[in-house]
Amino acid sequence: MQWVDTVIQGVLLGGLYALFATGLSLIFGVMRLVNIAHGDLIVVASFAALAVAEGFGMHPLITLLAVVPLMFGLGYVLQRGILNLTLGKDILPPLLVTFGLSIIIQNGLLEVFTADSQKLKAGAIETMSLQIFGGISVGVLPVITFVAAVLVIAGLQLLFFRTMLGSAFRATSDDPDTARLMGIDNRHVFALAMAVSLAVVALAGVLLGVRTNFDPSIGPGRLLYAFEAVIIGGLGSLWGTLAGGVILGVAQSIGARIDPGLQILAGHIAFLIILIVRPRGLFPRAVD
Amino acid sequence: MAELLRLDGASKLFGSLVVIDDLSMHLDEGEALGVIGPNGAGKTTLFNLISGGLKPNAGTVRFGGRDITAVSPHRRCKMGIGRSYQIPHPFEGMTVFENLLVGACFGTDRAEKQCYEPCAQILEQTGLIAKANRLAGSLTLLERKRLELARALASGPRVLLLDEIAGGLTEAECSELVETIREIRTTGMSIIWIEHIVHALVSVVDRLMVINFGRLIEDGDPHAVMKSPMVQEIYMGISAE
Repeated sequence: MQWVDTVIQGVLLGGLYALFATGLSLIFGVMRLVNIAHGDLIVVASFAALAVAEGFGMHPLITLLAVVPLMFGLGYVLQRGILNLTLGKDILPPLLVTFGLSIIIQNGLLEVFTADSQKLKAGAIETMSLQIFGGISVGVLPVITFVAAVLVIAGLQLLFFRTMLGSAFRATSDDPDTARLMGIDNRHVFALAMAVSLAVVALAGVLLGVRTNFDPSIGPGRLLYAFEAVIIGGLGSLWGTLAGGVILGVAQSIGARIDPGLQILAGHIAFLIILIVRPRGLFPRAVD
Repeated sequence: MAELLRLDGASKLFGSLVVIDDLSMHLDEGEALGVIGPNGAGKTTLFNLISGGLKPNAGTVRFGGRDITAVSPHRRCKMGIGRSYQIPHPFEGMTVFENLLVGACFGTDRAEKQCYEPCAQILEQTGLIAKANRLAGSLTLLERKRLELARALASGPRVLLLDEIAGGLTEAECSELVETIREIRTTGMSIIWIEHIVHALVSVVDRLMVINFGRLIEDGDPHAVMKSPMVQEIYMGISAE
């Protein structure tokens, strides 16, 4: 029964990793942009929530009402003002620019919020748990996180395949030059994609801040988990990203059960094994 | 007839290579213009200047009386410049119908629901209705060429730019496609058509233009142009290789 419990906790942890990874996956899918600053943007969202929560005495989960639109706007401006200029045939400029952005964000956060470890205090909900079968109990927050991940991915899936904005995303992703000839403004579509990505990042950042401590330097670590989840799942597949997050979460959880020091390593080993067995991930896109 | 499109003294350089050299041309509303010339003459570059993929180094592009030299490609599409590629570029991960829907919704700024009917009509007209729900990536060459045409039509063009739409097809496929284009012509659609298959071209267009080294060589009645000694020498000489 202990192992069942371990796997369930791992699946729920995977929900958080999937939220880290979804925005990254979306951006790569739409514009082939690898956003090295993705992890740091998650931390930006955590700190933004902290500032709003402390400034207005709000519950951290309520700050989402402010942080999500804020990050959405930031995403639009960031893409329109900087990242669009780096996109082209060469894949190096966006990598370099987002790498630089990552360093700027870390140091900017350090300047404003210091290196102190912070946490979003959510009160009673942090320790609430639900009894499920066989005496296993699960935390309410991990469950909320997992459900949020599923809803976000289902929502994005609807956006992609049931709306004209989604068609514009897919058309631009397939062939940006032709999309322009069909009346699609690439710059605007890319900016909206980044805005949606950072809206998801906002949710991930707040849930991260409620779950664990954070400080300005943890971004690259979150980026690594996000990368692993995306690649395990298969580039550009959103449900695959959820599966990737879950596999990573379960592997870490099992590793931690065997030996507490093994948690992180076990995740990386699972990632390596899948990379060897299925180099294109579990659910690669048919057309690429 | 009212003038729809005009290029004045347009030049385009790739580095030091002059691809379009001080070229002026025009197209009237409802006219069908054919463009021929040897490979590398600058025909496709001419289309890129009109559709906005490339900006000229000198000269102006006017459309519907407006100077559009600095206008971006997606705005030109909305203004009514529809373009098909020589090598089909369908959105491969989307169905044939979705491909058209993108052109219809973003090319004309209509709501999605208002686009279904016209898109279905265009699929009928271009002979793709049976393939509507197929992924564009799974189409044959002829079907891809038809999709290029259909998608350009869906964007609600005032002028249709066809880039070697019959190239690479068998004789039978080619005449099928020419028949479709002739039908589209009956609606009064203005067309500029680049094509190496001259007999197909001459059977449809009102006027024929020959370019070589980015310059206008001949311009006039298709049969007269084909008989001119300069065309015989430049164009036929090379195509006979």
